[in-house]
Amino acid sequence: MEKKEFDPIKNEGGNGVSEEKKLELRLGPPGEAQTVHYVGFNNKINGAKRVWQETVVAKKEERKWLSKNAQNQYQDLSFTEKTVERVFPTSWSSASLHSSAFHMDTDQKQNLQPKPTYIQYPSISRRLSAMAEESQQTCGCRVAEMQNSDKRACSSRCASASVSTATAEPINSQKRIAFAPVVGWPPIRSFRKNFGSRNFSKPAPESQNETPKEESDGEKLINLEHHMFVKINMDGVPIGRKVDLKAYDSYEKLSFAIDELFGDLLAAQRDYSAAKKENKVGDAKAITDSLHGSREYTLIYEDNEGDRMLVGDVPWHMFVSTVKRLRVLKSSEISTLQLTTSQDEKTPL
Amino acid sequence: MNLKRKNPNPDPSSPDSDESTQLSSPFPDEVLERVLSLLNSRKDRNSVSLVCKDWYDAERWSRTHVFIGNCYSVSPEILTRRFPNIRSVTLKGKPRFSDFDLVPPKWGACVHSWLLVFATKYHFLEALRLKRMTVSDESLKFLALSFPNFKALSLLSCDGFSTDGLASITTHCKNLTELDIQENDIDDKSGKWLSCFPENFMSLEVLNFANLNSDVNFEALERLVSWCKSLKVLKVNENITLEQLQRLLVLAPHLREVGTGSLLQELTPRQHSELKSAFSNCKNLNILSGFTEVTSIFLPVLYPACTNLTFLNLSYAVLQSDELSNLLIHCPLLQRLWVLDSVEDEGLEAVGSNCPLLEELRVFPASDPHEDEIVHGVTEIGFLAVSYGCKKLHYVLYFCRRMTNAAVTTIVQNCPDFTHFRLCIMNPRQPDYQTGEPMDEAFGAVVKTCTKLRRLAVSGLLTDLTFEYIGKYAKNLETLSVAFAGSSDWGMECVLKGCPKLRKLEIRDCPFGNAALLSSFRKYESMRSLWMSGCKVTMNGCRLLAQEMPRLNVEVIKECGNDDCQADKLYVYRSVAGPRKDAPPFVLTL
Repeated sequence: MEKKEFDPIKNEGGNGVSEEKKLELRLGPPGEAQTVHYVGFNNKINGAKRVWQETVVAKKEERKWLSKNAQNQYQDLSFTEKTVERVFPTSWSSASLHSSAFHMDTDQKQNLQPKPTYIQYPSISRRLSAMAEESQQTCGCRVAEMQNSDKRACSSRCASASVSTATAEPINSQKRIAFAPVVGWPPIRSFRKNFGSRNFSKPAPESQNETPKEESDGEKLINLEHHMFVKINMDGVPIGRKVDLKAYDSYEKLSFAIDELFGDLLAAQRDYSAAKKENKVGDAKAITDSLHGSREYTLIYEDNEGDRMLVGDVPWHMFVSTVKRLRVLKSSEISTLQLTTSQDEKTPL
Repeated sequence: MNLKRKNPNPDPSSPDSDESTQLSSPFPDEVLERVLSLLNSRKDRNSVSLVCKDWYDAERWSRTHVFIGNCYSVSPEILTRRFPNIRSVTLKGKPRFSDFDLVPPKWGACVHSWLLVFATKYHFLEALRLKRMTVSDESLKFLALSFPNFKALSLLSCDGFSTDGLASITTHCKNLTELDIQENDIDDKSGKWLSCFPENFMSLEVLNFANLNSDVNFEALERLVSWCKSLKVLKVNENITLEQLQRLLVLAPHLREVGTGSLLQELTPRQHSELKSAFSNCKNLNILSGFTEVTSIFLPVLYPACTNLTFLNLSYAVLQSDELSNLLIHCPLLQRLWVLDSVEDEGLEAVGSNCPLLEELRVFPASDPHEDEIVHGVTEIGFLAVSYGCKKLHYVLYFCRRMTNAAVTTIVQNCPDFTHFRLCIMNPRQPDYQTGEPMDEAFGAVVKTCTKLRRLAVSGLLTDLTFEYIGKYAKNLETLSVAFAGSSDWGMECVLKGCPKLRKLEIRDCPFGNAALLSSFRKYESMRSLWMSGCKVTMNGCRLLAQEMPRLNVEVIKECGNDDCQADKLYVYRSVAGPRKDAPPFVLTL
């Protein structure tokens, strides 16, 4: 899409439209007001900072850049702390572009340091939808008050308080166009959301006429509405487990859960082998102990493209959307993996 | 057992004396009632009841099914007084935008007060269909115990109950023929309700539990299906595996409508062919749905079953374009198709090529546009392709990423018979992506060309011109949904002044204010309801409306309460029942 989607500043279909556009909340780095591609900070509205991000940028680098700029922007955005907390739980991502806009108080400024690897993005939209209902009025009127150009705080009902205008393409990314979250938009019932068990990036399986002769490689995710169970196998443990990724929201929690899962199994194995062979007790015990804390085990996963990846590099949200199954490897094995690749290819992860 | 009228004129001293009544009626009341009992259309019945007093009476005695589009427009007492012989009730509650989280919880529309009255007045009630109502477990239990003849329960987009309530129904309703639980906000505790059907239960014809997540006991389900020889509709949930589905199909090859469970199971070749033959033995199969976690390997299993398909609901299936294409080749008789936009424009081209009898198309978004990594979806190209191939198309619901005026103009020229045109360009206020202009001309073309249009939903960047067109040309329009559109009050005024058959108007986030609201306030009495949220109406404007029109209920939903002069959410509807008695604190009746 080369042509600009929409320029809210220039496109004035009528007086009402342009006025309304001025009053709308938008979020973006400064200095972008002139480019039609990015509906960001609008210099025309004195002091009126846009608080809602309109576009989501694809690349990591851009995100970092945006975050950095965002830090400097919203110093004087007079937003109440109360509103901030209602709209964004402070326990939530501090590095996100959204929250940075709202972090006005100095105590919260430290949160503006972006995390090195990633920035969380409109995964807030869900929580936001729930909160935005409540805060819509607050947002609307507060921002309306802030608009120097228009004093009609009451009647100019920033109806789209939480709404952005049309898309604008982020600077370097053409493919990724996401919209600012709006309550109840697009108008579909909640039952129709939450797909994602099949990944778009993967092409459809080769042949539809092929009869299922062998096991398909890697189990697909069962993405029920509130669960996401993936297989997890551990070296030395013949029986795998399943873990519900939707029950966790961070790597730490997942890691702890995995410890618990296999701790039991390993203990059981230890007991069994202790009964069988006296001299093996020591080894089994060492395994159990090392699981909890030492670095003898590494967590890896297989992603939607079939590659084995180390857990922890990407944001949790992104990890969850690409992970297919997990494996706990003995750290000592990793260095030997390359040598055994040819044999490992056929064995499922 | 019908309650018979004992005396057509119970009051002999009334002005309508026996003689004059009998002189004026050309045939006995019983004949009139018999004739009128054959009328099913409620519009016809409403017209009939206006002819004269005799006809009004005959009609009210012969009516067995009543539809109430807004549960607050009438009270159960008034209803039961007018229609004594009702067997089947359809009730709709909350405003439609409650489906999209725009109405706070505990707003109302509780069915219980209705059930209490029905228990005495409609003791022989057989069917209850509820949409957007609040239903409690207590209500369901009361329903199950109070109506010995109860047969059919359908709950769509309701809330407030759990699977325990369903268990009451399955336990106590000995004559149950229909249990249809769809897209409700239900507390899904367990699947035990299915096991509560009595041992020799045989009467079930419709069973839909596709949206319930808990596991049901498969043996119980199997027994149910094998005993209920009249079963026509079976829609299972995701926990039913393919193997289990196959066993069910073998037991009930006469099924007309099947909703599959999860399709993720890896099948052995033998299982694969057994499933395929089970499907092909379903000679009456007209409707297929479900398809959660569909895989390419599964789809060919369906091909033999698709020959007689008239409705294919793939709206929970993330399919690619080629998968859809290969499937549709086998569905020549398809009339209704629901898909996700994962099929993209190419998939829709396949629709155009393979489905000449298509009348209805719904394309839902597969991914959350707020969150998704990569954007796919459909554009004007897909819609155009369908319009070229499917000349009978008259119902469309289309969620797309972009659209042009030219495309829509061509589409309606190809398919001028649209009755329902619901276009959702997913990014609010997005213009024609080729010209940068507003989408006014697109909807102008729709209303000018499609004279039979009854329902319209608009989107994209729209000025007042769109609404001028609508007011001027959409003479049959009954439902209009507007979001993020319009430039000024004039837009809404045009619609209110122009559309004579308008019944439902729902507006969100538009610059319409008091002037628009009050421009044709008498209009609202001829409509079922008006919803305005995120607009510019104020409390004073609403109060004025309430003053002028005492027979309207003017309700404002107040939430944060920070701005007292704005009317955040306005809901106006006509009612013979007067103001609500059960309004929660955040609903202000003016």
